[in-house]
Amino acid sequence: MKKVIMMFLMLAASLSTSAQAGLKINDLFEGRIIPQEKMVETRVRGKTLAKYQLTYYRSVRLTVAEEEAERLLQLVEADGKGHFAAGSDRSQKTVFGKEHSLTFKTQVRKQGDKNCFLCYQAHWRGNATDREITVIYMEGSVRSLEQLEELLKN
Amino acid sequence: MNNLLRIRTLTDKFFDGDTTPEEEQELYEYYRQPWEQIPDDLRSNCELFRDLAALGSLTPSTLPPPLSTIHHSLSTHRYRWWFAAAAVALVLLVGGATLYHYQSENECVAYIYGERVTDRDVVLGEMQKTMMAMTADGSDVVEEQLKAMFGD
Repeated sequence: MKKVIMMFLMLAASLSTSAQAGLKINDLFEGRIIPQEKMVETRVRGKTLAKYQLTYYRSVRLTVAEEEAERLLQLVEADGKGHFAAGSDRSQKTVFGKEHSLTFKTQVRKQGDKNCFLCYQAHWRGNATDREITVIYMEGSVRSLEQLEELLKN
Repeated sequence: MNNLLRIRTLTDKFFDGDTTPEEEQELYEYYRQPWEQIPDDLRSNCELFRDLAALGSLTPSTLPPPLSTIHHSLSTHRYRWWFAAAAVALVLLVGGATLYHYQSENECVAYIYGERVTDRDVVLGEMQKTMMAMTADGSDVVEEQLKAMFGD
């Protein structure tokens, strides 16, 4: 009986483990870097995501100082290197000399048919030192972020 | 006299633990007689044999259950309680895990600066806006908006 109870406790514990556990950026999602009261977090899982060929979506949006934004980018880049070497893309754009954005997208895991993606974007205006940061973690059968982009457009 | 000698012999045999049930019955019968008829040296045994005779007259149904039976009954009773408690705990655990699993499989929630929002439209709107901004690199959206406002 003890073994059965232990088995169910372990099952419950495994269910409560977050999908992006093991990634360095997980600390941000769990509010260990920035308090969760200072960010917008979105978590979607299930049939709603089927049209994007995703099974799990989690994002955080927050505003931080330039140094903090750089630190978060380093965490995302480390996850991109550490887990899955394929398909990282970093780009920086400036629109009309005033709108700046830095984007980093990477695939962090591939488990069978399931692909896991991590995206980081910093956005700021002019010479402002504050950065509006968005970090997204996604899981699903979608093969690439390019394919996801196509699905979003349709 | 012969009878008294036999009683003495049987009494000694009884205290040595060598008597048969029939011999013990004989002793009970002897010690049941009036006090005065028993020799002085044997009177001290009267109380013991009368008590034993009284115990022997109890039928199995009126006898208290042996201690081992009581222990067995108690342990069985306790075991049943533990089993019932474990069964209830298991049902709660499985039910809870199933509910949790179902909810986590169909999650749709946002925390806007610490405030929990479960409105599906708001959550999905937030998600789509974020995904579009990310896939279009954000600046493209801004560029398109500016182009629409001021022309190419």
